[in-house]
Amino acid sequence: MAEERCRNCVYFQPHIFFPYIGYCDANEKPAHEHGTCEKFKKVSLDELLSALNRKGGVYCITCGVTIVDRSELENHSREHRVVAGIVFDEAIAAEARSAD
Amino acid sequence: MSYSELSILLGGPQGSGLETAMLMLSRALAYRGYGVLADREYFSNITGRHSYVLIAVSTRRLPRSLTYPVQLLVAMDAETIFTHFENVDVGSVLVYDKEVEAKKLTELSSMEDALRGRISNNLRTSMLGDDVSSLLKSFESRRVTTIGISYQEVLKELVERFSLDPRTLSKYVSGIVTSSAALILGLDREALRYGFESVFRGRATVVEQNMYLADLVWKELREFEGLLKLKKPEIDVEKVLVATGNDVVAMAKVVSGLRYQSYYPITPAADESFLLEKYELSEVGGTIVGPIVVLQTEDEIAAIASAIGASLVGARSATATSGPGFDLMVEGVSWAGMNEVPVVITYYQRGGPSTGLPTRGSQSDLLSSVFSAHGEFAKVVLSSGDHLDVFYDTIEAFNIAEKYQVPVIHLLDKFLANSTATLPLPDLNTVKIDRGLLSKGQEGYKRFSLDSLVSPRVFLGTPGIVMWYTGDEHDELGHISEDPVNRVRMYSKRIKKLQLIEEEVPRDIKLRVYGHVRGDFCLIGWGSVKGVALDALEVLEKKGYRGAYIEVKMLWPFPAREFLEAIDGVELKRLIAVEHSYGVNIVALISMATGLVISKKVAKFSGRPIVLSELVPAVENLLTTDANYVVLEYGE
Ligand SMILES: [Zn+2]
Repeated sequence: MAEERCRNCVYFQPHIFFPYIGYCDANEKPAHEHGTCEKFKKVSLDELLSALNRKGGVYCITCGVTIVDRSELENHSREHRVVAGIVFDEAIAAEARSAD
Repeated sequence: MSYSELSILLGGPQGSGLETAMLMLSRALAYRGYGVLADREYFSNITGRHSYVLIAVSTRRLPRSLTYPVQLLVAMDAETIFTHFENVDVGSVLVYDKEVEAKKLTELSSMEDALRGRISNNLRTSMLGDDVSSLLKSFESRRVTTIGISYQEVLKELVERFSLDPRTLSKYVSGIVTSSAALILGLDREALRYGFESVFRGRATVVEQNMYLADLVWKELREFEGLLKLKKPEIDVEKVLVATGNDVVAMAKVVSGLRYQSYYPITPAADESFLLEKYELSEVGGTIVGPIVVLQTEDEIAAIASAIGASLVGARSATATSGPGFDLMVEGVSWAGMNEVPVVITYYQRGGPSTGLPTRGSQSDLLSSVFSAHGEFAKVVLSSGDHLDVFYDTIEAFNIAEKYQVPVIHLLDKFLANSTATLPLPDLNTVKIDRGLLSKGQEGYKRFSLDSLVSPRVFLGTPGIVMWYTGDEHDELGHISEDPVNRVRMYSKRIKKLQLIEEEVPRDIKLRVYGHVRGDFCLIGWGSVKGVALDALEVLEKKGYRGAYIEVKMLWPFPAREFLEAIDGVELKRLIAVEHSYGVNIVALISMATGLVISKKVAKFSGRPIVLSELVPAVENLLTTDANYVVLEYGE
């Protein structure tokens, strides 16, 4: 069984580039992947599927891609780290230029 | 040991604060009197892809060119170490995130497969493992000091202490990069604070949090302080600007009295318009001057058309774009030629054809801008070699446009647009605004009077004065006319302005000569080649080759007379043309204008800037062998 740390918790939304730091949806505050709390809920395929249905997408940290369908999710979640939500950095808008 | 010149590379995922780090470090260095030139290399519109900044720092002068290898590599991630491990010098310093030591090349999801394949081959050839720790070990044999710091530990402490919003994490990652580089270069705390303050202006909390972070980093890395200590700066410039080429164009446009700028967002041009938008209204001595109207149009056709309209009613008017956008503007350029409209197009070249390499540099649009637009008419194409020239030339572009009532293309490129430089404050006393022949008009005013090549201009909307503008051939009043006699006179009038421009534009705007023309070789180029060419002259002189650089600034009309004078007595085989393109197309222009065919060429079209360390051997090669064409490829 996975350790009851933020890293394995469905409420933990990691930062897109530095995924050890993120935001806890349950406590509504910043969190670190090694953190613990009584609201811990293990991330599972079912939880990710429900997030996918609810939000239209989940995110694979390993591949750096958004997942938008069930079969993709099943593929990635087998060996990759997939999360229900992700924190985008403010700098992304500033550093990613309109480039068409 | 201390250094008078250093190359530094900062790398990390795009959107993670790399640009912020570059700005903070550049400003901290400039604050202490060092010269800085920093080129930003990034992917188009794909967040998370590998970006890097290559920086030249000098204690002796304001740097003009970039070079490899680097003496300091600061890596935010594993991809930076894999991508650039061959770019580091013997005896250099690597600062990296300890947490990535176990990362393997195969795990880097954002890396293009082609690059991964090349790196993988190189690792195999060098008998190295495919993880970061193997690379770190290999650095030992090159006497590279590897300094690991746990980004995670530092950020964790910061997040906990200040309850930071994780969306702002990049502001602190950039703080780690900046403060570790500052420590190794021997910069003091006050300079570092200045760097933070100048970037996080008005956000005192972020500055304090970054200073707290810097203290953590400095405590952790104390033993490495001054490892690459910079010598005392001895640059004889009292004040400098730290600005990108985009910034400098925007500043110069404000100074030139710009009143209208249109744009459709495109890399690498848009930043100029974004900055102008900030200064639509400016306060000078308590009064609001302006406004400059900056309008984002629906496309580039509307951008040029509206700029032409603004010009007709008397506004100093410009638009800014890059290759794909300019292609759309071309019909408008022809209309401006037909109607003798002064309008400036700031044209930032990037890698083509089509959308090509949107965020990479090139000079491959020389011929397409010189020969753009149908029909024959007078237009001017002007280029600039460095940030300071960009300032003066931007103003000159407006003066030429209005004096001769012609469209002017100011041909720049991504390397100038997106590189940050320390430059001396422009001397505003030398700046002149020439709005050309203006008139209040009178009864029977002829907008296209044939009495002179340049007809006095009355602004559209002047009460009581009527004039007509049309894309068709027209008479002196502007009425459509297909009369053959009128056609010949009117058509010739517009084209003959080219002669006037050739005769009247000062030599210094057309062409500049640096170094010893009658030496061993003579480099010929334009635009962003200038800095690296001038530095190459110095290095080659130390190697026993005396040479010159001829910078063609006005590309059209081509200054044939001045060019021939400049190379008078020089053997053709000693001329070497240098350009960021495949064809080195300045050669075609020279040949057309003078009949001379230059056969020795240095080309670079990888989308990366020509660096000193590759230009010098390329020139040596051309001087000592039968080779005629050298293609440069250095840089990821
Ligand atoms: Zn995946």
